[in-house]
Amino acid sequence: MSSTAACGAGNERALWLDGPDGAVHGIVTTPPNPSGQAVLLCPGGWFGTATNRNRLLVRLARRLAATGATVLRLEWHGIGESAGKIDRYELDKPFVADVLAGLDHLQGLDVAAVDVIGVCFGAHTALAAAAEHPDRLRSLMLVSMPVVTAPGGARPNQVTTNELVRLATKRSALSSMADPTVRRLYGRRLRQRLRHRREVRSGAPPQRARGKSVDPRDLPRRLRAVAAAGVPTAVLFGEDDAYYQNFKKLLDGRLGDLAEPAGGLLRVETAAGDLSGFGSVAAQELAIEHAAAWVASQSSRPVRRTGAASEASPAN
Amino acid sequence: MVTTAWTVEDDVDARSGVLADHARGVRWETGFLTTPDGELFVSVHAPTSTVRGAFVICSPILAEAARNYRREVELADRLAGMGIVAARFHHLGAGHSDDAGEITLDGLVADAQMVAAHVRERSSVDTVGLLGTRLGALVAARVHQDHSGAPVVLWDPAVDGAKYTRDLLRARLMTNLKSGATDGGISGLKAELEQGRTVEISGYALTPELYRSLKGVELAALLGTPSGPLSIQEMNGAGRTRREVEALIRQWSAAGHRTASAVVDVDEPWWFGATARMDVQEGQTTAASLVSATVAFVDECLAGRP
Repeated sequence: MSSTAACGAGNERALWLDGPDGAVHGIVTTPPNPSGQAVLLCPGGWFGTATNRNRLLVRLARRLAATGATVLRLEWHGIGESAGKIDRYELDKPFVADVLAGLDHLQGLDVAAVDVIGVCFGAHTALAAAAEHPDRLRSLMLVSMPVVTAPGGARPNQVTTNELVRLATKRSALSSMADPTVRRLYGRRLRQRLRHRREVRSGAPPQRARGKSVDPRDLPRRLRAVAAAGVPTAVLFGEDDAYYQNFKKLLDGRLGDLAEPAGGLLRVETAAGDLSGFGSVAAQELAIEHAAAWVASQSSRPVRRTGAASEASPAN
Repeated sequence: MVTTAWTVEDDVDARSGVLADHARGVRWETGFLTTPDGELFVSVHAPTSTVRGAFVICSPILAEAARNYRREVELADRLAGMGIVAARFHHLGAGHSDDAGEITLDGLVADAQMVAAHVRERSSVDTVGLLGTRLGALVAARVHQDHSGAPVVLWDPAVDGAKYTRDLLRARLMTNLKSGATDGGISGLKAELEQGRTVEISGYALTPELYRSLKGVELAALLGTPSGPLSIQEMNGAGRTRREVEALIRQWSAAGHRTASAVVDVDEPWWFGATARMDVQEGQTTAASLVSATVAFVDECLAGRP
């Protein structure tokens, strides 16, 4: 294990990678004491730039590089510094080509193995890439992955209409709504929720959920493909994440044979609170801790034979 | 446009990435600028031939930065296409830049001044135009004092530090409605900051240092004596221009400077849906009108048209 050394922007370089949907921008953090390990970070859709909310991925990249990993954090085509154009993120249309561009770059460096970490939309995309090309990575970590089993299904941080109405009767909420702007914003949220409920009841796909639907078979199929290829995979949710409840149903049913200790190929980790969207500094810190621990645990695993890197890099 | 065919170029140096659009004569370079306080992430869009001028784009901070990101990219790309070097950057303590202690207004201004000096040297221009959004408008206004006579463009500017802080604290109240946290309202949160405690808003930290540095700060005072063209684009769903903005426009017009102002219809407050995803959704509408109006204004300024 390499010694820990502080990393900052001085250890980083910016680059663009060719991609079919537009050149993809990324930042590579080069460790002062390279261990031969490499990590690809795939951002979420809400904060799709390579920084993610409150520079979560910047902090994670520098933390991992301090322990010896070469880290590439990407931003999807059409987002941030990347070229190209997108209209919306759709879970059933993951940006696999962007992930492959990142893997190509890392595997062209002097690294022995690449571990991939995806958050939110990035988790879906990383999983889709891993399912199609399991030989390209050593391990996979999926953080706060959206698990939507039907269009318009539960989304994290979404307050239901009933909850929103009930909130207005709480003393704490009434205190906050003494401010006229907060009152106006609350009214706007309530109207949005009521409109959403009308849309759901009328059978029309809700406006804000259209881009979030995904074929409910895709997630189990992809997880199973990755497991079948022997790629160790960890999924991390906050205990209060709305998607965690959906994922637990999958574990209790179709994916039960994959989960530890039964199959040992799919590790399910939970952290206290709500990690979705990393809406608190505490959630961000928890995600970083879990991801760093996962990467550290992979450093001692045998290097898998990888597509592009297999000829160039010896196993460590 | 950002969507045109770009070619990934060989490195200018070992730490920069370069894209080129040869048909339009535009280069887009990202990398790091070394300053005494740390390294700043800088993204420069530049024409490959004659340079007509230069602009530094001062972003909003915290969650608002993500919401505005792609608009700024689009703008910089358009400016480069008309012969203007346009630089965007991440402040120290934010984005890809280095950490450098707590963020304060003085620190934000120092970052922008470093980038402006870099751009001036690189493009061989005398003065650099400034564009700032929200808190970035206060930064742009202050840096403009060093670039007298150059154009200033402000997108939905914070008109003073107190109102800006109040907007942030309102966002905290809204996001905490669900958890039922009792913050004691705006005054309770201000008391926290006064006592030196950080207030967290949607996963971002509003520190006492930043809060204190914004006290008593006013956009009009930072802009100082009217000097050069001024454009202010407001963003709200009410179609209303704030009276502070009207006063500024009147003042600069009366002093004989070119001015422009407009209101862009954006119904969502900055801190709600303040995400790159919202940025994408708004991209076809808000960005188009903001960027087009700004490009037209800058072009008129540089051409010296009345």
